[in-house]
Amino acid sequence: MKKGFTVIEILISMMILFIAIGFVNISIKAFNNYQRKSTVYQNFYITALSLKDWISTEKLDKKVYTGKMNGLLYKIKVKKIISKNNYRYSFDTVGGNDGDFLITLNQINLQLKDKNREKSYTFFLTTQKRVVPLIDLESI
Amino acid sequence: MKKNGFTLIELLVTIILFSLLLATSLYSFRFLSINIRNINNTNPTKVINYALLRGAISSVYAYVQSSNIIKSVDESFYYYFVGESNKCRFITISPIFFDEIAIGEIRLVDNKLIYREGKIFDKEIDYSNLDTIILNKGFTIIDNISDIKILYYLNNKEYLNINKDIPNLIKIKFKQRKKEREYLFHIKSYNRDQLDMIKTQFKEF
Repeated sequence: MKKGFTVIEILISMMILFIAIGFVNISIKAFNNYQRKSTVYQNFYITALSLKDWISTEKLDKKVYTGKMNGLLYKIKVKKIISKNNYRYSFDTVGGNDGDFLITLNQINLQLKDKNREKSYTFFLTTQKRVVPLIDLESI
Repeated sequence: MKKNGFTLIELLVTIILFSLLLATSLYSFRFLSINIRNINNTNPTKVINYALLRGAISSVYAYVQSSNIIKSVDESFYYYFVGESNKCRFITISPIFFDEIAIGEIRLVDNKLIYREGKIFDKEIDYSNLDTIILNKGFTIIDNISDIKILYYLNNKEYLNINKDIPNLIKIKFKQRKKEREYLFHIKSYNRDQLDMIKTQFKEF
């Protein structure tokens, strides 16, 4: 009477086992790769928003801003679209301040670069500059 | 007599081969799992926390406070904002945990940057002294960080500490896994003219 397994049976079972291990390994690697990609994109997202916040506080007197932040190279291009003297709501003048401010609409193009990827974002930003000096009402 | 089963040498060779294969696969699996753990530790909630914090900071409210001893109108009224190198306290109109105006604080605690929030207007709260408000809700913004520094910018000038005035920009610098990172937040400061209006009213009075 035959006892135990034959070589073919063992070989088949080992093959099935290795195929299963292979599938698990591939899926773990895919998950790992996905996580790494998501980390990179999260860094891009946070850096882009941080740069947007920073450029909002700048006077935008340069056409191009370049630098490095969070391990990414950035290039910000500023394009002036239209400038107009306009009214700005304020408490500083009693009779309004029609035309006292030069308000400019700018188009900002933000480019972020890494070793393998490049991302570009575009948004609009307004800047205002007082062109007519403020009259001190107390001195009149 | 016909031989049944395997010989000792065959078994030994199989066991050695199998154990070698198992050892290599375990080693690579361990390496992989460490990698996954490192990624998981820092990232899934990072963007959500950043976005929540950005909303709260960008909506910092120009909250006017008055000191108890009235020296002169200019000295007595000021905007509430406490900015230090490891702590930042502000009033926000877009809080994370409450519906209305609240007080928020970013603080460094044991290699963790945490955000906490407290209600301003309550029956039990004396809101004339904002420093005594209990900040009872919060979350960790980032953990496992070192060399943290909070910097403040007002009219393109950098400050390590800022008090009684609201900066335009807050920069949080830190190191995470030996890499330098920066988070920047722009403060839009709603109702920025409030202080001038109150001062003018008091001067006229």
